Amino acid sequence: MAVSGRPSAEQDHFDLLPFVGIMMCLLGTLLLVTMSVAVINIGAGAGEGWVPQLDKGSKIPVLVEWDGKYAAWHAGNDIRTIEENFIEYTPVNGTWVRYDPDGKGHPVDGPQPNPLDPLVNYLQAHESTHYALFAVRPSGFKNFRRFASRFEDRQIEIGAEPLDQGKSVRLVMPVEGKK
Amino acid sequence: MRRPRAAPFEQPSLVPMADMLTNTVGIMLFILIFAALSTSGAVALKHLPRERSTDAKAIFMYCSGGRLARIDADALMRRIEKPLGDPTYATATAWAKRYSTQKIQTDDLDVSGEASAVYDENPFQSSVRLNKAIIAHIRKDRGDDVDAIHEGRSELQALIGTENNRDEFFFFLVDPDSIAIFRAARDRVAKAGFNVGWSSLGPGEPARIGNGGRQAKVS
Repeated sequence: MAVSGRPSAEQDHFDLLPFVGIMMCLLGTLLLVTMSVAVINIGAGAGEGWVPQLDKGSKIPVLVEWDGKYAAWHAGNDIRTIEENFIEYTPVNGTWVRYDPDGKGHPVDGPQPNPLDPLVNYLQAHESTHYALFAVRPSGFKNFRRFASRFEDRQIEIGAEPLDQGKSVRLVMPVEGKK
Repeated sequence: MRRPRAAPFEQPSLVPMADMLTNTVGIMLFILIFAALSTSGAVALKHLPRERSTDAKAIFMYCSGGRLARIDADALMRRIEKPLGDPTYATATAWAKRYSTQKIQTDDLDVSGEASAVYDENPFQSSVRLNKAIIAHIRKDRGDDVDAIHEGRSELQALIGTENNRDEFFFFLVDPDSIAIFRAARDRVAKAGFNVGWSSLGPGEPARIGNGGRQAKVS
């Protein structure tokens, strides 16, 4: 860019084109990053937010992810991962029978604590207001009904929704007073 | 005559350029942060399922291999039983064995029977109960695919048009490879005012529907 009105041999030209080029490159890169982030968040890798409709008579869902081996209990902001061992204790004619994962039963003195007890006990204690909402991943389809029976046997209401294997899920509780 | 002196070259200031560049980068970063925050954890589900019993009759739909087919369990059981005649107390076990060897085919399904006779012997009255079920697989490339569901040219669409949404509900048996078609079909029937329930199957597991076992519920 010349500063004087009349160009002369001694005057130098200062070309801004490389700077514009750099700026365009930067802009393009940032645009690409922005679009990539947007695509990742709303595309295949997107997580899901589930919004319960808390109208009259409805219960508050307690979200539990199930992948066939582990139950991930969403307790407030915490996620507690609990392994399901498929060991169950049933009272039969005044004695206790322990059922192993393969379905075989053995008489035992009494029931032993189970890692899922805190979750089941919590839901049972709040069964009039809460229910178990399971997000079932494809790897958990096969044994989901067996897992769910642990809750159904204790008269806990359940609901289930399939969820893609790698997808994250969270409950989005509606803001109080807002529909 | 003295030659006029050329104006000295002045280096232009790069500050406005740097300013513009910084502004542009800042704006783009803002857009990036906004895009990331507003799109993360996109809300996808409005109705959260909660299972409950119903008096309505279940219309069973089987989702497997990315295909959807109806299982008319009553009609299929009748077809399997037709050549066997009526069972009696004395013939129940043999009848159940013959039932279990039956195989039939429909346009969309390969179906076989499964039955057992359970005797209840008590001092006052002996009785026998027949546990009957049908086991179904979708035939290769049969049933409706997800495009047919979306375009409304599926058997499901025909059922929606003929069945009553007060007396009947749709119950889906879902293989893990068919979540997408289940969701598409569920949206269709829910839009038509039908209640919906579903149950998961293991990978490649056939649909088993019988007169015993777990009750189909809506959710």
